[in-house]
Parts: sequence; structure tokens; C-alpha cells
Amino acid sequence: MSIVNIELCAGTACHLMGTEQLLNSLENLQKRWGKRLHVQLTHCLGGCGQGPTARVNGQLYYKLTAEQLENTVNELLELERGAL
Amino acid sequence: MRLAAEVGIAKLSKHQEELCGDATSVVKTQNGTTVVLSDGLGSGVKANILSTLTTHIAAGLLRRNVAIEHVISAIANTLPICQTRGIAYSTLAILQIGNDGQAKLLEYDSPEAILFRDDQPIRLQREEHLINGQKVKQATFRVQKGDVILMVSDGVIHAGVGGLFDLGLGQEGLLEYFRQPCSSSETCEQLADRVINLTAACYLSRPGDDCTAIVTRIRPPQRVTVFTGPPLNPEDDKEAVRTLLAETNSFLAVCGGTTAQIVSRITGRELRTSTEYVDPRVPPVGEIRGIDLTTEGILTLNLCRQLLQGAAEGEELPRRRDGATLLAKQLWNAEEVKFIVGRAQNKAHANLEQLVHLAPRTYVVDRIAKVLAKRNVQVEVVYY
Repeated sequence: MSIVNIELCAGTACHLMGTEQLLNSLENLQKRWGKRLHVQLTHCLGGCGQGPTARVNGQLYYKLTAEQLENTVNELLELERGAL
Repeated sequence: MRLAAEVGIAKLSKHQEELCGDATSVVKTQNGTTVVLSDGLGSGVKANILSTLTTHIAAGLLRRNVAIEHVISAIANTLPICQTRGIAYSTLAILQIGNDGQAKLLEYDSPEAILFRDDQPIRLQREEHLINGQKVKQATFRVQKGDVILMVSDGVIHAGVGGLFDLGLGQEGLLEYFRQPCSSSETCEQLADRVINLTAACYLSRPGDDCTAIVTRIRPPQRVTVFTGPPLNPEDDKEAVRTLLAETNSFLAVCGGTTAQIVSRITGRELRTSTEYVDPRVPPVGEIRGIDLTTEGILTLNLCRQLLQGAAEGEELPRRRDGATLLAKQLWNAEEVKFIVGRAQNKAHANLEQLVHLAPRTYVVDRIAKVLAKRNVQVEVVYY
């Protein structure tokens, strides 16, 4: 069983652009996927002008909305479920 | 050995009153710390005005180094007396702790303060004087490191009267509960909260009077070192971190995402970030082994400045545990502060600073330093 690892940037610029809202939006996803979704806040990811920034399984996403993040996570986990 | 005092205050207003009729003030001068507690007669707005006025007059005189005997006699001579009850419209207690360990306590109609040494209450010898027909109790004594002094307003002593207890909590009941304050690892604020929580419980959460607890702990002077901002020249990163870590007898704070990454890179210690948003105005705190507080930079410093400015104007620092409040509390309670300020600017932040009206790092550090200097804190700022 693989895990999706989300690192949300908690740097100044990303915070102002909505990191907390992204974090709150992950609550439902966490209920759905449980331990398969690992969420953490991290130091600046270097996308200060293009926040909020997140790193999902090592790949950086810029100007991220809650909807985009949800779709990305669902795609990654459903893709794997479909492959089983 | 030079001594200093840490002070923690907790208050509770009378049931259904918005304003507390007790007022407090802490005055730090070059010679020591003075704590003032006043309880206005009655409750609500009238009591609040009376006690605030009394405390402000006392604090104003103390800041001008007027001797506390003169302060208390000036106030006792001018305070109006209630015609019905024949008592002053406000009580007053002043505790003065000198840097040399010499302490003085004056009480005008207030419950007796209690000194704890090695967790045991010590009876202070008091002399009584008559000022304007009113009794003023005075005690002169020496304090030592680890001593704790508890001052309360009469709302605490009378907690639960006619309800939970026939005669209220009383000083003995308070002593029964307020155990081991000297060996406790709790802060003075937490100890004061403990007294007020007990008081609220005795009143069954419907306080019959305004209640205040002030806990003062004697400790060596506290030093706080804050590293914020990446150095202008990256070659100075190592030197800035070395300067920070050389402060072995100091509370260490790192403020700034890039700054924290510099510390993490040079020390080889992992930087972790909490996922708890305590206050949405500032990002969560981080963690680096060996660093006491790791926070975001510019938003945290700006909020910290606001909080310190408010505290200087008599507002209480919040009980929250966000980065800005934690930093403000450390700075507010410190005797010596050193800022290690890197002057490199994140260009992406420059636009944001203008958009949300944030003061730049060097400016905000300068403002914080000025607020602290007014409080007689020794402040040193080093730039990289």
C-alpha cells in the first residue's frame, strides 16, 4: 500500500497566499484515505512568488487551489487502486 | 549575584461583569522590579476606574524612582474614603524587588502577600503605620534565587463564601492548594492561572468578586538571543550561526524560514514544522534541536512588535502559544536581549510587505528594541 506524502509550504509568502486553507481542505481527504495520506507543513520550498506551494510525492505544485490538490491526491491514490 | 524577577498575572472578573475591578502594573527600572496591585471598591466600571487610576499613579511615580513609602502615602492621602463603609475607594499593595535582593512590601487594605522559600510559606514581619488614619503594613526583607511571592486580591481569599465554604477559601485554604511553587517547573503565569482556576472553582464559576493573583519568582537575569534574516553575504552564514550558538546561557530564538534553514544546514540538525495553526495571522512554529523557539520571520516579528507595544501600554499578553506570542513573552520577561539580524531580503517578500503593510525586518527589530529599551532591558543589535 503506497502513501501520498504532501508537504505544504509554511513560508511567509505561501502562508499569505493560503496554506492554512489548503491544510483545512485536506481534512475530508484524510477521512477518506486515512493513513495513506501523510500531510505535513514544511519550511520554504522556494516558490515564494507562486504560492501556495506544495510538494506531493516529491513533485512541486505552484499556485495550488484546494480543488487541484484534492484532484491530484485522488488521482494518485485511485490510479493505484485501479491498478490493483 | 544580580537578581531579577519574573512576574505572572491572572485575573477573573465578577460574575456578569465585563471589566475587572482589580488593576495591576509591573514597573521595571534599572534598580529592580516593582509590582503594583490595586482593588477598586465594588465591581464593574467604577471599581475598574478607581483601581486603574490608583495603579497608574503608583506606576508613574515609581518610574520616576519615587520611594514606595512616598508613593503609598501620596495615594493614601488623596484616595477618597467611602462615606457608607468608611474605607478607601481602592486598596493598594506594592512589592519592590531590588537587583541586589533587597525587597520591600507595602500593603494598604490588601490581603497579606505570602513569601515561599524552598516551597515553605514564610511569615514576613510587618510593621504598621497610620497614614491618613488608615493602616499601612510594611515589610522589609531579603529575597534569594528560587523564592516565590504570591499576591492576591480579596476576591481570592473570600472565594466560595456562603456557598462552598462558610468563610471562604481563606489564606489557609489557599496555602493548602498552592503547594510546591518553588520547585514547580511551571511559569509564573501558569502558577497564577492555577490560583485563579481554584478561585473560579470555589465560586462554582460564578465569582462573587473580582479576583487577581500575581506570582513573582526570583531568578537570575534572563538573556534572550534572536537570530533573524539571512546575512547579506552568504559567506557570513556560518559566523552568524556561530554567534547565536555561542550564547550558551541564553534563550535562543530563530525567526525566519530561510534563517532556520541556515541554522539547520550549518548545524546538521533537522528542521521540522508543526501543523498546528494557533493564530491564523502567523505560520506555525518549527523545531530545531538546541533552539528554544523557531518561528517564521516577518509576519511573526510584526505581530510580536504589536503585542509588545500593547503590553507597554498596559495590555496583557495573550495566553496563546503561537510563535509571535511565545517570542513576545520571552522578550517581555528578559533583562538582556541580543538580536542577530541578517539584512538580505527575499525579493518575493518585498511586494507582499507592501501589499499587507508589513514593516521590513530591520525596521521592526529596531521598533522592538526601542520598546524593550524603554522597559530598561539591555538590548544589543548585531547586523550581518
